[in-house]
Amino acid sequence: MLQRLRKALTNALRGVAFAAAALAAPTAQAQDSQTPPRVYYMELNGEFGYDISQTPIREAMRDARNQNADVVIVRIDTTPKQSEFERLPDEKQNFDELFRAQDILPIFTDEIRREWSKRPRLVFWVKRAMGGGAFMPFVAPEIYMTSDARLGGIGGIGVMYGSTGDEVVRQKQYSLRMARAEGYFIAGGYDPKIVRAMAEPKYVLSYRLEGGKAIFLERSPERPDEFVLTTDQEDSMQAEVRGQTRSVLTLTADVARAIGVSKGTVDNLDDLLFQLGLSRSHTMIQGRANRIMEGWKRDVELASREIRKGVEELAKGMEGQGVNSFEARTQARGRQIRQINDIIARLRRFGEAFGPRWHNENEIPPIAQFQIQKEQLELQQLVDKK
Amino acid sequence: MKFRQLKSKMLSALGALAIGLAVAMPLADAEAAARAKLTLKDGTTVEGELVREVDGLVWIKVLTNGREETKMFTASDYSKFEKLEEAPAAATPATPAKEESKPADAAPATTSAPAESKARTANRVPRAAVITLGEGGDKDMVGVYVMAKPLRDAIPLLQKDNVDIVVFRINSGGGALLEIQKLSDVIYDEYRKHFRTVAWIDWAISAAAMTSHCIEEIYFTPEGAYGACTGWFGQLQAMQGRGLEEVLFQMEKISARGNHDPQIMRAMQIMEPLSATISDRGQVTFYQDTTSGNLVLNPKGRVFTFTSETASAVRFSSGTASTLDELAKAMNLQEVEWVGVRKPGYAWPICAAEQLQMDFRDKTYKDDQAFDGYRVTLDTAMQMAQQGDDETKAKLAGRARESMNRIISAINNNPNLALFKFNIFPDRFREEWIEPTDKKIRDLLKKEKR
Repeated sequence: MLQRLRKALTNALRGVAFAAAALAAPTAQAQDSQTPPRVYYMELNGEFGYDISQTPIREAMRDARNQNADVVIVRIDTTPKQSEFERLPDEKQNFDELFRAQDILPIFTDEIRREWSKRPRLVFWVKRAMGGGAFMPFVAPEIYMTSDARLGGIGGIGVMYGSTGDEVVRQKQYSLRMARAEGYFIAGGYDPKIVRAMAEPKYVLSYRLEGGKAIFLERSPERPDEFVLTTDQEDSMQAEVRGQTRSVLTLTADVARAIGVSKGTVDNLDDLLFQLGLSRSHTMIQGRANRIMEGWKRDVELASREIRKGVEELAKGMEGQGVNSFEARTQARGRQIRQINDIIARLRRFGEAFGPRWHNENEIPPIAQFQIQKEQLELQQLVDKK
Repeated sequence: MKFRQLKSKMLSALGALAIGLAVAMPLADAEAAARAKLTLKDGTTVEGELVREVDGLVWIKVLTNGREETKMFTASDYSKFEKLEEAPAAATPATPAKEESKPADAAPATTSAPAESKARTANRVPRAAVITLGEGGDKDMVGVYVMAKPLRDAIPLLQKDNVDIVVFRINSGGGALLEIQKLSDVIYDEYRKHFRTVAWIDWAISAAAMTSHCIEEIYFTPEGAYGACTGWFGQLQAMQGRGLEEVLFQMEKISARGNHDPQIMRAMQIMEPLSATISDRGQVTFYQDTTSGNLVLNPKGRVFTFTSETASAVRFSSGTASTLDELAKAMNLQEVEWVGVRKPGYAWPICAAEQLQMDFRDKTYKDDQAFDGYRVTLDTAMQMAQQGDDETKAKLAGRARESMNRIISAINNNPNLALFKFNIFPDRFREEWIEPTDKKIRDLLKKEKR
């Protein structure tokens, strides 16, 4: 009864999603019969939250809107910033990048609804979407994957706090996170059980196909036509290294295709356009997306370097303080205040990319600390005398 | 996420407050004298004082376990609505004629506001306003960015705008327990009195869900989440003992305000299981276990959070909406005028009352970010002045006063900063901080005169 209720509920909601897609589809097809659909293509490469961030994505989407795109294809390939030696296994990390993804996801949902006069057909093409990046494709009704694609890396929600604190508080933390993640899947028209399997170790999920559609079962397979997605067993080190975990789900092209997450496996843009039904007639927009993305990466990297340099120089200036004449001290303080202003401006401009980890790794204090330092310098200047 | 526990003195104060609060009844309006009888779809009847009736939505005051409470029934809940007693003629405002039987066939809802508001809306399209409680990111904490004070201050602005319906759009990951009762009171006692009051849930976690829980009419965004109300402090330490019991009791009372089964909130606060059965007639019954209901909402050993799917399945949510148009449809509003000015980057018009919330949050955020700077400057200026000559003292006293005034301005805007920044209750702040600080600064100047 419980499963029937859940199934009815899920199917009803899925029905709404399909109906919405069906409503959107005629627009593109109507366009097809008159003028070729205009296709905008963007690539999101790099570290999620740093290189892949809301400011350049928003700018690219606005470019797509201004160029009257009918179809927007977003190719995602996240790469971890840390070296392979320092990195922990993909499947065990990064659920909390969900909250970083929250800054980006509305660009493809709320902002399209708000800012586009006609909703474009949104397609995600996944090469590698791990950590926070794994949430992104699920905002799109259409996901395609490359043959070597991986989508996941959000495992470990049930163990992320270890034994810190009380169980009820840990459960609260898991619950709110899981509900948010499930919400994004629901909004995108995907079964929330998928994200639970991706995130919660030892959550058992299998599926069978009925009429070509995956029916999810919160138990182990019991029939030959049922297939396992996750088990309640620990993963071996070998499985972890080979990305073949069963305690949490990391989607490969085949599995994603089988359960209906991916609509097809393609390794080049021409094949994708073919699968989208656009190969005969479409216009590729010469958009600015790649320039925007590359420009952002360059600027962030430059800002990161300049901030580090500025902090070093500031420290040197502080060391030399108080040994010169009034004029020299005044000049030094003026220079330091300018350096601080410069650092603050860069931190503000690129703050979205500079998360707690960046601050920690680069030993850069928060903006408030620089402001206090500035106030101190102003006070010193106030009481200093010739 | 940031459900901060109160310091012990605050807990006891809150406890006293929670225990001392009776379940507030809506203030009598012009129709309060009338009685009504509803025949529900399962054949049972409900009879009591008719508090309010607007376009299919009916509020009736009933006795439950010896306690009076106001229950709301939507058109889909009942098959027949009978007024047993006419409202006094003088007090009955001009309202559009309504069918008194099956309200599902009646005219679309315009407003569920009381008499005064109904009179206003008799011949026009209902006017609705969106007010945000939290805006996500850094401006979402209950008790700092979501507070009763600016909400109360917004009521005259909404009235000036002739607003009939207030939609609270919730986007907060939680916050301080101390503000929940104040927020619940201002929403339940004041907003409900003047407006049809609706919650539209995007992200209502912990204290944000507890704040919204006094609202009966709740909608979700598709990605919406609501729950995870466990109280904690420090390194994920759970509230325990009397403090916990008081909050559980407080939320039982707030559940009654919102006409929500108290077992729902309990499963959100502590690891109580929750299941539900939906009858053929659509009646939902909740159980604090995993076996009695057909639908397991929360397994054992978990803390419960609704998604839009589960909330809709058990009718906790009245509908799911991504946009204002979808929300209006879910609310059965065939026509509605959204009050305010359209601004780039916002999904709804910004009315004066909403602008007030935004300004409040902006100033709070700026002050919050700069607060340590204000304090350090004040303290440093005072310290440096101890060793300076009269001229230096005068300069530094001026700087110290400037910082003090910034702090006072921050706390005038947001009294709770007194608590979070100085551990002083807002009503004691003048006495415990402003006056002594002012005296210290004046003393500096006195020495200068000598």
